Amino acid sequence: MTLTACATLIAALLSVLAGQAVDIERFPPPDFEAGHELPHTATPAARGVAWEFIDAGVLAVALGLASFFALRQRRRGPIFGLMVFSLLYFGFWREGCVCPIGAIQNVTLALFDQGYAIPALVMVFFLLPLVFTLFFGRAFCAAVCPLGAIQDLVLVHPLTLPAWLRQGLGLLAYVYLGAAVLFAATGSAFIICEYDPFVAFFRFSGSIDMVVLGASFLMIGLFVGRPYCRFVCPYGALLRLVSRFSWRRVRVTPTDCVQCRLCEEACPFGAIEPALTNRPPPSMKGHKARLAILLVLLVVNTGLGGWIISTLAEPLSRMHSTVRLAERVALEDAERATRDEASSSMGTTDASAAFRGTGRPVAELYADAGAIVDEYTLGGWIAGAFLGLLFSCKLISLSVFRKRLDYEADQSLCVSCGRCLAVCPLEQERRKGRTPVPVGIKG
Amino acid sequence: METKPDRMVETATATRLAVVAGAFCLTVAVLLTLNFTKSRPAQWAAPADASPLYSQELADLKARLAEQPGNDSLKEEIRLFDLRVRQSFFRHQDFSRRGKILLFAGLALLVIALKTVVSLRPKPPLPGEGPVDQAVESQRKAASRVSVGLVGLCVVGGALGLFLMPGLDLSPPDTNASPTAGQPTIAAMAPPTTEEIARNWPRFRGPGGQGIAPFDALPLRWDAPDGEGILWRTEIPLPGFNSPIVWDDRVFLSGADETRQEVFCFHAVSGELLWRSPVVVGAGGRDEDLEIWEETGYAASTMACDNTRVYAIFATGDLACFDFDGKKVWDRGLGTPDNAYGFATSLLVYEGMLIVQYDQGGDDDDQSLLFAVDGATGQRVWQRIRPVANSWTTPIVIERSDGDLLVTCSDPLVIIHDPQTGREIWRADLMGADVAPSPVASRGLVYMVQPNESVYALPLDGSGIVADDQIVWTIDECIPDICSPLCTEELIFLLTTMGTLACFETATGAKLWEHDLDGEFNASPSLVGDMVFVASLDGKMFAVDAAREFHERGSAALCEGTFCSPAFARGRMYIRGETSLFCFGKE
Repeated sequence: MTLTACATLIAALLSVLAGQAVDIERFPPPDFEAGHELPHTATPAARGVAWEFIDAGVLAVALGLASFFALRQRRRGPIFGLMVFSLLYFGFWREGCVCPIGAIQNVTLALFDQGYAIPALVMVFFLLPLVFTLFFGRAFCAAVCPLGAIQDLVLVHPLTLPAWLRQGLGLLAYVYLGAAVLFAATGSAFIICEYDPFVAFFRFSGSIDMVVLGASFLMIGLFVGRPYCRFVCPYGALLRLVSRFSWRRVRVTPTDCVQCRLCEEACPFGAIEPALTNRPPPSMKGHKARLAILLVLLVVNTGLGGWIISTLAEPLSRMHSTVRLAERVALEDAERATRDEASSSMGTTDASAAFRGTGRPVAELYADAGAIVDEYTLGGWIAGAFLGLLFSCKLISLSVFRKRLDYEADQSLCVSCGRCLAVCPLEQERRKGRTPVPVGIKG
Repeated sequence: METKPDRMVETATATRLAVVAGAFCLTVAVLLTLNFTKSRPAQWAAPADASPLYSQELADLKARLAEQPGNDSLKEEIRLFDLRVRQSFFRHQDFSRRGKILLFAGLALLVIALKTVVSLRPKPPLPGEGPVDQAVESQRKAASRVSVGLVGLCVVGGALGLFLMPGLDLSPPDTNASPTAGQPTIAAMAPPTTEEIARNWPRFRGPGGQGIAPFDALPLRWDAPDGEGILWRTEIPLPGFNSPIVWDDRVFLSGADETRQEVFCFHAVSGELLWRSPVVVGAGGRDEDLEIWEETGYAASTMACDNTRVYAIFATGDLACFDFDGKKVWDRGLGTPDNAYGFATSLLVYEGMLIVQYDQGGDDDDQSLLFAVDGATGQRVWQRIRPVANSWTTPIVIERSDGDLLVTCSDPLVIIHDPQTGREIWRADLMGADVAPSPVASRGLVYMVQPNESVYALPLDGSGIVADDQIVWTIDECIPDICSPLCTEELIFLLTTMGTLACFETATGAKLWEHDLDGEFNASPSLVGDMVFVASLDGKMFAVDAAREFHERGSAALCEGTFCSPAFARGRMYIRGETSLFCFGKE
């Protein structure tokens, strides 16, 4: 096994380098000057509208089936099969686009930019998984998301991460969500798409950064279940919030839990919460004091978060091309003002030369850049306050003691993959017809 | 029922399969990596034969060819080398494509095998421990709180790192700086003197664009079919409707068809074709659907030159600059203009800058441009977006003591600019569709032609938006639709396509006379001394007195029809016929 594990690691590592071979730039046509006619540069035709309906239909059916398999059938097999189908269809066939994760940015831009018309299909992809999650838990993550599927498939030897590490890393997804929304709202960048780790694999092509990022996630994913979904995915962060209010969700045992811990062992995502003794926790007095402090900190952290991110408006606004252009033009002008033309080493970039070619006054460009910085200041307050509030709520939730008599799936973390159902002895009994079918439990 | 030995056999098989798949993946990955090192992107300093894009050897060969343009063996060497590196490139690509598929399949097999091994591995029984004690849970949550706090601190630390980055320094531009501060400056060169420009014919209708010859007399007796009076005649390799331009002993023309664009240089004395240089077709994106009117052609715009360089533009939007030896200095693809009849506006050189009026589309399309580029480098010096539709006029520069004026005439605006900076000085909303005749000026007035409707005289010293009541006079008869007017201090001559030549006073716009010439005309009238010369489409040259009364001084036959306005320099007239360039005048 050691040998094969090493081979896996080395092969995966080398595949990163090998993958770069797909990124070679195109070269220019030969310098024909003898009347040779270069072939037409063909532009691919737009995808037919019918395909949009098909995509939306496939998504809806897949979500419905995932919910049915997880809550009604309670079987890992069909969920696994659907997951493979989704990987092939939404991943390799549709090449990872459109996807609900990136759709966050389209929706955000549509909200903040009246001039942007969001495609109906993107809206459907954004909303449908949220609606299904609200009713049936994270069915999308279970078997429909191609990003989750590819990670699930490569999971060979899951390691159990300590709870403290999971809790801490889990917050990074909200930071990523906040950044993605901020950059999309200001029209700066769609970072979720730019840093999509798996789209290069789905398309058998991509930049070196994408390939390295995706290969890294897959290598980690050999031993850590769905690392991108759990610790990075911004749409997963949204689904985590929504799934707290799910109407139905997966229940591990059909009847009373025998506390065998097989489900906890089987879950590679650390989503099974252990049963707790009924004894009250020690030092309740200190516990209450901490809770009171955290409640005060909730207000402080919310404001502090907003203030911190808003003060970063200028450096963050460099994500916007207009701000970068303004800065470049200012640099060029400053260089020219301090040095004579002959000794000036700074030329122009394509963007700055194009801007100067328009004849637009530089002051107008600076004004545009200033307006974008103002947008970042406002957006920074909102995003920072959101993050401050979220961190505080997390700390408070970790300070509240709950009664839990059975081993249960954490409704926000459970991706309805069905692994726990496959090992639960009581579920095995149910399948033999000895107990009734529980249609999930109410959230 | 599965027995223990069966499971062991399956585990062993899966393990062997995993090893084989791993070794296979490793091999493919190593081969792909080696392949990649031979075809890596430019920023990775690729070897010379990686692809034509990165080959230094090929670049060196091309540089040698530029020095030895007639070296056929070198050309063949370049072709062979180019072919070899392209073949090599595509071999690498093909290898990579196949390798990726194999690697993907190998990795899939490896993962399946490893998952099988793990699933077959005997699992120890897991005794239940019962509920977790609240104290343990309390410790677990405490550790989680610390973890969450640390992540929060990391986020704050990251924010602090961003905070320490330098802020934006968008200082307001220095208003005391020169108008072109921060813009490409014109490369140092000795511009031609006013005297040099005056004795040459560097643009459409000569210095100032007025159609006035720099000498006073031209022999009236010639007959091209018989060879009488003709100094030389040289065939032009490609068609075009642009007029010749002249600088010292060189005459320049351009020609083009659907697939070729070229610039030609003739010897002014002998008529010998000194050189011809191609201009790449579609440098700014080739429009395969480009349809050009037969009457306009692909090379309707007259070239322009100064004392060192010559510039040409074509209906495709390809703009190029050559030195006087025919060596390309720079070229630009402006993109095919959206022009109803085909682009025909001519170029203009002003103080080392090439000024291009690039009108296209509708007046609210924001597609029309007026820009100046550094003649030496092709870099834009200034540019203005024009709220005008496509037009076919050529701008003129009027020299004035209080600053030169660049006059542009289009649909619907006449706009006067500062030619140094492109700054708009005034505009007037006078014109309508299909503006082709170019403006002329005299007596502090500029005259604009709205085809088939009116000729307007406007004072040059306007500002802001010039209202209709500032029009000095309007002419409403004998209005040209293609030919530009010709004016002296006192008189303005208008020539219609159908051959009506009319004379008006520049002071009042009052008509003095009109006369119907025998022919149709596209070429603009020219003034040589006290005579007006006009050339008809069927190849007849008329000479009439530039006087308050009509008097025809004579006519002579060219042996070809002509659409183009003649050029005049050093006592000679150069005129482009349908297929040949003719030179008339003094020996």
